[in-house]
Amino acid sequence: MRALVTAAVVLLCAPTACAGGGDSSELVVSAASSLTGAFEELAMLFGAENPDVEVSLNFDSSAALATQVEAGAPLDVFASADASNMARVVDSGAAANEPVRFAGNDMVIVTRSGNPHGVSSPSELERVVAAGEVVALCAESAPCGRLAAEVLAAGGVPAGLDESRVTRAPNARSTLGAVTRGDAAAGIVYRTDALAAGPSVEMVDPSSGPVVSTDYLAVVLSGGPGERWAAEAFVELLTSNAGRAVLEAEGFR
Amino acid sequence: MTSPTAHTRRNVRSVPLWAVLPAVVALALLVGPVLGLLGRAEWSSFWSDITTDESLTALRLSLVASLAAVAVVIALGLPLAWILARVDFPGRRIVRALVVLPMVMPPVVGGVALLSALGRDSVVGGWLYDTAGIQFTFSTAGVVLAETFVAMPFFVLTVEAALRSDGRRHEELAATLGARPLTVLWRVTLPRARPAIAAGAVLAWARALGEFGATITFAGNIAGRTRTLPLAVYLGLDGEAARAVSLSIVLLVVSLLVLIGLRDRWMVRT
Repeated sequence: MRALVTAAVVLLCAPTACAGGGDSSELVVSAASSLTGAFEELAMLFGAENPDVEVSLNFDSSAALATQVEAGAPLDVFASADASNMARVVDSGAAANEPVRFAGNDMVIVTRSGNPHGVSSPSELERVVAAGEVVALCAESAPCGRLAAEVLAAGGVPAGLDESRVTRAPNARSTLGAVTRGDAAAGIVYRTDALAAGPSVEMVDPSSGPVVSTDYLAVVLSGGPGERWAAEAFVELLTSNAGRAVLEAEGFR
Repeated sequence: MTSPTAHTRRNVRSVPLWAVLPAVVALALLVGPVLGLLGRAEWSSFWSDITTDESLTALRLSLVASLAAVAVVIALGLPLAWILARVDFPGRRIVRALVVLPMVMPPVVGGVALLSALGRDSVVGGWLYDTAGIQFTFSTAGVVLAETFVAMPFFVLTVEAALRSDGRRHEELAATLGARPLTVLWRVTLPRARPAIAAGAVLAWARALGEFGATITFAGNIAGRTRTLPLAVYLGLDGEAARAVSLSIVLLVVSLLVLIGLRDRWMVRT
C-alpha cells in the first residue's frame, strides 16, 4: 500500500515538480492555438534562461481561454489572438498589468493540396460550397472565426457562406487540420498556421485580395501559481529581440 | 439483480465515520456539479434559448442521428449478441472483448480511429470517395456512424447477458414440441429478451445522444448536418454561455427521463 502511494505521488509530481525542492516554481501560460509552435519554442528559450521555472503551456481559442480566466482559472500569462478577448480578461479584473502587443498575423485562404477548385479569392469559396464541398472555418466566438467573416465580407461575401456547408472547428489549429487531412476542401486560417502546415495544404496568395490582420496581445494575470517576476519576464521575452526572432521565423509580423 | 435483504444492512447510527466521510464527498462530487448547472441557468430566457432556430436545428439533428444510430445498433447488434450468447466458436472471448473496446476507449480516440479508417486521406475512405463519391466525414452519415460506434457495445452487452442468463431451456422445450428454429427465435427467444432489448436500446440511445468526442473529430461541426446538441453546447459556451447552459439542462432532463425509464433495472426497491 505504501509503495502504491509513493508511486502515485511520484507520478503526480514528476511533471510539475512538487514542493520539496523548494526553489522551483511553475508558470502557467495560456495562449491562442495559432501560437502553438512559437510558444513551444519560446518556452524552451525561457526555460534555458530560467532553469528553475517550469513553464506549462495551454492552447485553445482565445475565446475559450478567456472564458476559463473569467471562471477563475489559475493562470500566469494570457496571450490572445485579438483585442476583444483580451478586453474580456481585463474587464474580469484578472489582469495584473497593461496588455502589450507582441505580434501580428494575416488571414489567408488554404485549400486541399493541389487547389482542385482553383480558388484564388474569398468569393470563389462560394463555388466550392456550391460544388457540395465543405469549407472549414473557426467557431464564430474564436478570433479566427470573426476574422474569417471579415475576410468574406471584404471579398464580396458579406452574408458569409452557406452554413450547411461550413464546419466550425473550435480553434485555429483544428480548422487547419480539417483541410490538411483533405476532408474539407478549403478554409480560412492564419498565415502562420498555413506556413506550418507545409505542402499538405495550398496557400492562396494573400496579396491577391484585401488583407485582414489581427494583433496578438499578452498580459500578466494575478492569481496564477507562478511568481510575478517570472510572468513579467515571459511577457518581456515576447517583445525582446530573441522573442521577435522566434515569432518572425514562424511567420508572425 | 437481487436486492440485499434487510438484515445485511447496518443501522444508520452504527455506520463508521471512515465510511461516511468519503461517501458524502463522493455524493457531493456527483451531485454538486449538476446543482451548479441548475444554479447557473437563466430561467427567464430558458424557453427562448432552447427554441432559437439554432437550438431547434441542433435538437432535431440530435434526435434524427441518435435514433438512426439506435436503428443500426439494433439491426446489427441483435444478431451479434445472439451469436455471442448462443454459438460456440473459437475466439469468442476475443470477439467479446473487441465489442467492449469502444466502451472503454476515449471517444476522441474513436473519432481518430474512424478518421484513420474512413477519412478522405485513408485507404477505405479515399476509395469510397473516388469510386462512389461517398464521404462520411462532415456528413450526417458520419455522425450516425460515430454514434453507432460508441453506442453499439452497450446494446450488445445488455442483450447478450440477458440471452445467456435466460439459458436455452425454453428454446429446447419449444424445439422438442416441434417448433422450427426460426419459430423458436421469433416466438421464444426474442419475446423473452424483449426487456433487455428495450433497455439496451435506451442505453445505446442515451450514449448516442450524448456523443461528443468522436463526432466533432470525425464528422466536424456543421449547422444542421453534424452540429448535435453536445457540440452546440460546447461551442456556445464561449459566446452564448446562457444558451449553452439551457441546452445542457435539456440534455440533463433527457438523462433523467432515461433513468426513470430504466428504474426497474437500476433502482432496486428495498
